[in-house]
Amino acid sequence: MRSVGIFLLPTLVFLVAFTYLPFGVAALEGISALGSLFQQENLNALRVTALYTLLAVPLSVGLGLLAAVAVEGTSRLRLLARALIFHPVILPTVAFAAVFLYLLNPLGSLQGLLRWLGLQNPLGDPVGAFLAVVLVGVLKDAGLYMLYYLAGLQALPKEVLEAARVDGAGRLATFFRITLPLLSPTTFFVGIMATLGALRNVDHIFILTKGGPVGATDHLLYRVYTLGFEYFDFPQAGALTLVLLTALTALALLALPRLERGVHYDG
Amino acid sequence: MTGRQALPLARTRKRLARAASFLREVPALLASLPFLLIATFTLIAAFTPTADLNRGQLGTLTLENFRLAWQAADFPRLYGNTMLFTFGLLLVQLFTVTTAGFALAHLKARGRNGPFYLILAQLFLPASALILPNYILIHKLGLSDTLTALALPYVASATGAFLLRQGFLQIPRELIEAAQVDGATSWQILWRVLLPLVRPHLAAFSLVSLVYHWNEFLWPLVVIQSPEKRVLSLGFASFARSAESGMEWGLIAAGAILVALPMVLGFLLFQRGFVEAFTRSGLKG
Repeated sequence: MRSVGIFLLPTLVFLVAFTYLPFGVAALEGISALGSLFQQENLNALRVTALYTLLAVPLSVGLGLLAAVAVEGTSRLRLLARALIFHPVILPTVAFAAVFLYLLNPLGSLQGLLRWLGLQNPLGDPVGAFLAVVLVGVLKDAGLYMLYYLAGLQALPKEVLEAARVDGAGRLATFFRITLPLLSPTTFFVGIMATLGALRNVDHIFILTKGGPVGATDHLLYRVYTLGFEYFDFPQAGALTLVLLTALTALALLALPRLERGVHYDG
Repeated sequence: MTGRQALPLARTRKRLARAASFLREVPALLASLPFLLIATFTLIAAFTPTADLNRGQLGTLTLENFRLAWQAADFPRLYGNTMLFTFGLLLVQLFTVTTAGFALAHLKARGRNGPFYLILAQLFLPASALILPNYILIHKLGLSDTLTALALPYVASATGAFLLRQGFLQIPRELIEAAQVDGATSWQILWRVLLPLVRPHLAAFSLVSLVYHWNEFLWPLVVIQSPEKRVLSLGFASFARSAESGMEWGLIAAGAILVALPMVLGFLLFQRGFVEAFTRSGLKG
């Protein structure tokens, strides 16, 4: 068909204006403050973000996989379980996180469990607060990853699994030797999505910890916000934005060749 | 074997089968238990007087928390602003993702790669990571503190463009060729012939976009200053802050429920649609 290119125009204009141009704006703003990246607080933000990603990604992906295996099928109970695990995905993160203010407070309903874990007041303690932020992030997103895994499980070649059963392979062996390897494209995709989520979703930090205590939950993006919009230090916020964009670009370079193949094959 | 002996045996076997089929459901029960507990605690907290709650005394039910929460934040206005933002944005997006999806599906290979990657890479450059430069741009445009500014970074949507591309690729080529033979322009083909056929994809995209932007917090926090322009998430966050310092958990829970209610109701009504929409928008369809 001729002259189809013109249909790209609306999207491309806004894409350039609000995705690629900002890239340049951040560079202009931040370049003068790149030296500030080595300040203690900024290094801390980098460390917190790395730790958060390293912990939240495997946990949320793992929970998504486990949940998918557990609820696959069509019994009424499984459909109900599926809805329960998925429902935080559609909740505002601020609302979901606020519930944990109650659940994790020293007088809350979970105090027995918390005391048993040695965490009387998790949000007041650096390690506890960090773990709480990870927990809320993981529970919020796991349901989405469960959906991707359910779709992946559904697309598995039934004959292979059947053949394994006929050959007398046990359930665990079948899962680890056949199902899991066959799911690896899904795992790759879900892992990328989870990493992206860990780098960009910080709403729950605003509600639960505000970066504290003593910087224990001071995620890079949370710090971009406080530097830029509470201290109005645009150069330093710009420099941190550049770090974040570098991480995201690296993720894109890692993921795009394989994602793009997925996109093409579907056609 | 006489019938007398066979009967109890059959009964035992039936019971065993029932027990086994229950055992098979145990993993699903365990996996969903934490989520069930969180939802239950939220509901209990919302319907219990705060004083009782802090004493660990349950049993009395009240709507007082909802009444107080409704008064503490200007909910009618918050709902109004949020709906204006989410539905206004969606309307514009339906146009941009349809046109972009159509072009991505039918561009000749030579001219396609550039735009293809430019749009695909947007998935990795989310607006939340660009709050600082986008704020600078919005400010230069004189649009800070407006609902329009909230929408601008989302007008171009890679998720939507690829979702729609998927839809257009599923339509048999003969249909387009037949329309071309009849002398239809690309615009007419898109609007009259193809659009009705990608309606499911547009519906799926709409659900995801509405949920995502209804819940959005960080970018509105940056853009909006006037209290009367706040969206739900902002109003809720400031209200939760003051309720937290007073340990008014019932109020927080009730507020959280009020904020999430439209989405939760939508989910309960169109569960299958939600699940399908979110699965599809995962790019690989």
